[in-house]
Amino acid sequence: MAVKVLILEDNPVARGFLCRVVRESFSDISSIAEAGDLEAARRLLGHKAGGRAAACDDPYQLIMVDLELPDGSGLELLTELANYPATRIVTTLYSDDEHLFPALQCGADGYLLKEDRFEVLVEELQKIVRGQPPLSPAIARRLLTHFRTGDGLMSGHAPAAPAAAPVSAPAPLAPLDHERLTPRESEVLTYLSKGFTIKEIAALMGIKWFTVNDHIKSIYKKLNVSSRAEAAVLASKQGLV
Amino acid sequence: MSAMDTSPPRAAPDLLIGGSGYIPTLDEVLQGSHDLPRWIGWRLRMLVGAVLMGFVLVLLVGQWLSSQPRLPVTLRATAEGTVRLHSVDNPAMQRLEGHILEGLRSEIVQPYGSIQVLETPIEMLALQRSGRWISDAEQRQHFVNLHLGVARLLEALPDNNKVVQLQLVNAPDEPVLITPRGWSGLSPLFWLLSALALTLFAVGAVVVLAGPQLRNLAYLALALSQAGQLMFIAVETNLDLFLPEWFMTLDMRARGGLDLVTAAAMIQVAVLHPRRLKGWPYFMALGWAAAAGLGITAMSLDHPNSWLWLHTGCTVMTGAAIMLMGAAYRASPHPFTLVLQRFSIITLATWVLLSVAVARGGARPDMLLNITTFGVMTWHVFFASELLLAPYLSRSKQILQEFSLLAASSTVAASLDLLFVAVFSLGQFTSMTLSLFLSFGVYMSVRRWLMTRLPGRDPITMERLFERLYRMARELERRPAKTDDLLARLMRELFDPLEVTVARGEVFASELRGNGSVMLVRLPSLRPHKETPSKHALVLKHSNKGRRLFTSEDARLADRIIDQLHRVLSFDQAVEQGRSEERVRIAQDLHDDIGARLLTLMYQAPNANIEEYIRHTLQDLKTLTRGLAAQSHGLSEAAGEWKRDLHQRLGFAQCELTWQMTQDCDVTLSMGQWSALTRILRELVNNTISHAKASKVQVVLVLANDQLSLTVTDNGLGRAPETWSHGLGLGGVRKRVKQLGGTVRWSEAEPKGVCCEVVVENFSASAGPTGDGL
Repeated sequence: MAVKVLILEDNPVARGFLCRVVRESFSDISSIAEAGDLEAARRLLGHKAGGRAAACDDPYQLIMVDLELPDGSGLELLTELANYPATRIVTTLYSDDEHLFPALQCGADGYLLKEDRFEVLVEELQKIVRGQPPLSPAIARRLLTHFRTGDGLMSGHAPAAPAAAPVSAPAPLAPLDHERLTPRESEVLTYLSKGFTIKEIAALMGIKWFTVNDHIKSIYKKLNVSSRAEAAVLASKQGLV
Repeated sequence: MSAMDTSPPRAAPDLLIGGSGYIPTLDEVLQGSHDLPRWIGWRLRMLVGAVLMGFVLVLLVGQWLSSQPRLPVTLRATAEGTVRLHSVDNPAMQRLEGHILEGLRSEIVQPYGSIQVLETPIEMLALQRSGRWISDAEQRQHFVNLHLGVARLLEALPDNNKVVQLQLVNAPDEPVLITPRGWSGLSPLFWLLSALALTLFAVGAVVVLAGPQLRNLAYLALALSQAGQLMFIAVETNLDLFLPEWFMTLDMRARGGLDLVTAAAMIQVAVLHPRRLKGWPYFMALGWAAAAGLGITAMSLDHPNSWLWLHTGCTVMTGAAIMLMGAAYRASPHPFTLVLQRFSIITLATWVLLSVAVARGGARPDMLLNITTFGVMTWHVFFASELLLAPYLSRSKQILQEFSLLAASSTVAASLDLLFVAVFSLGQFTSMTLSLFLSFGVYMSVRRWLMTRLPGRDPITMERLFERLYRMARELERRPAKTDDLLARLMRELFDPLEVTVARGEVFASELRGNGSVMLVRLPSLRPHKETPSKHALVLKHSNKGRRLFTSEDARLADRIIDQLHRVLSFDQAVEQGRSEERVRIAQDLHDDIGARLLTLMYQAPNANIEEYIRHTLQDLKTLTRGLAAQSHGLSEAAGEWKRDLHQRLGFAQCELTWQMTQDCDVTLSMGQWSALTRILRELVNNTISHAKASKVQVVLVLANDQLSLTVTDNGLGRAPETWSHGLGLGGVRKRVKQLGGTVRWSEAEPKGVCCEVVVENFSASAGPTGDGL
């Protein structure tokens, strides 16, 4: 099956570089669409600003979004893509969790750091598409707080995170029961927050590494559910839906 | 004496309970040191009754005095020891002024027609107002005989026509009419002295009724005996030559007895106030027994030396009281003891001086007369004003203190005025100016000596105070939890109290308790995050190692200091917030602008080396900006990031990471520490990746007993690290380690590779002020 890719990146040099990464990662690329700003991306996806991107007959399977764009933040597009059936990846220079945590909450399936080496990026991209999302210790810590207290969102908007502003101030919601972490998931998160790798966690917990991976995916999914619920609340409050 | 009193004063300056210890409440610390009397019911009624009784007593005395006879001339002693007519009431007899009087003579026409002539000599001794202060027994007897003669002469005269002849030297005898004194004849001095006596009596009653305790009874004894002395003196000023016999005996006995009572009461006060001395009942009993024994011996035996015994006895007893005060002060220093002791020393010294002067006599008998008359009166007035002052001396009300001292000084001024007129025969105006001037000087110096400052005190100068405040603000900024400790230390330096305690309880402004021996200082909640809603107060006990009482000025000073501290801190917080915001802004600008440019540059790099170099630059930039923007880093959290970072880097280089970390407590890294450790680790691992071609890297990070050690060992090609040139990488590591105040050492690892060991002793000290090392 041919893969359709959308790359949203304002820097043409970086865009070219990311195209090379994508081509290297997948052998079955059918087309790569490139957009320099949010407006162009929306045109390609066929929806208006603030609206919802709906899946068409021939959807993109992989969408790479830069966070800082000339006409806004990539997080806006991520929110609009909430129901779009694609793997959404944030490509950014920001590796601090003040930027990445909101991105994850907006439904990003993973993030890539643009300054990484070509080979590294290829490997990471393949991992994300295969369902092995990365999780830094700092983000793991934030996730723990988020699931424990339910108000992780509020602390997610520390003053040092202006890029998160467009999606800021969703009503703080206590996670629903099905969004709570299982003890195993908490354990995995705790280890992650201490800097352990997936292999090390597997050894420590006496389970297979892909089981750890499943836990992480499950955590992602729960985070996503909550973020979608919040997005829905926000949308209905603003009279969008 | 309770156990609390015996505990030696704690010497360590940092005796304060830290945040964790138990904090007593204010009531526990003060332990009922304030027992305020309630002026209700029987107390008030009894006080009013006592004062009324005293008033009536004074009026009765006045009534009796007004009926006593009066000679219509004023007599003065001359330098030659004779008696001179100083002034006469009747203007017609003005020519007699200045004549020497030898005696009184009366010619009584008997019923049979014969004329009985009675004569009695008037010597200078007869001008003595009381026999109490005549030291020589023979003289005293002579004094009594002279007055008896006058009394007999007066008795023989018919009631309706009491005319006596003044026997004058070099002049014919002059008849004068002796009439009762009448109310108008009472001198103003009588009213003044009796008013003072009445006041003293009332204050004594107030003190005893407020707290019927032994020490207050001793005060009452002191007050009553001085009031009695004053009444006697007041009466004597109006009797002149006509002292009844019973009055003379009563006067001599009673005034001697009252002096003994005073001395014994002084001992009682010394052992009871402000704290009970060990074995106080024995001292008290001994004092009263000695007084009683002395009194009975001196009065019943009528020995020629009894006057000497009495005065020596009183001196010894009061001296013992002063020594007991010294002992009490050494046992438990209380500023009041010291003040009391000083007052007692002054009083005793003047009394001894007076006694010695009288006992030794002098070349000029008229001077002696003046001393025994005016000097003794002055002394009693002085003592009385001291007694009036004592209960209010340590009250927090500064105005009252000042008033009492001023009152004491003005009595001294008045007495000095009298003395100058009497002794040095100075003009009225000169003596008044001089005495006012002198008493003002006495007031100023005594006030300083007794109340506020003592020699040897080392007050913090304003300059040093400001410096302390500034330094304290700096320290508080870093450790806001230590507010209480730091403030306590500052107050200790400022007031040098015996004891500083933190207590729970709300104090709105600094205030004084326990008659100025305790000061409560409000502790502010200077912490920006108000996690402790409970208010605390600082309790300072016994200023200046117990040698000084707190004044309301001290309280105001403490309040002002705390206000200033508030201001400095809020200013600092605003500055710090501004700095932080600015840091974040710089970090964002750097990251967004330079970062994006470097990224473009990196993608277009002509070869892999340059690309790698730019990548490192970009990563450094990100480390820097993240460090700038972050608020704080815990060591364990930072270690998690480091581990992941190293794992990722080494993973791509096909190198295995072994990570070991132990810490005895989690510390918050300062910005400088965080950035230094991050760079050290990254640089060491970069070296391993790019030069050593190692397959295994072991990182061991240990924080124990405030010592941080970081060991990075690889199994690469590197050998003989001492021969390495100091390139950019190693130099950077050295620089960072130096910033932390630690040491770095490279050695060969076995079987192959290199080991780098970084040790930072005293890790918490390397934190430095915020913002350092950026």
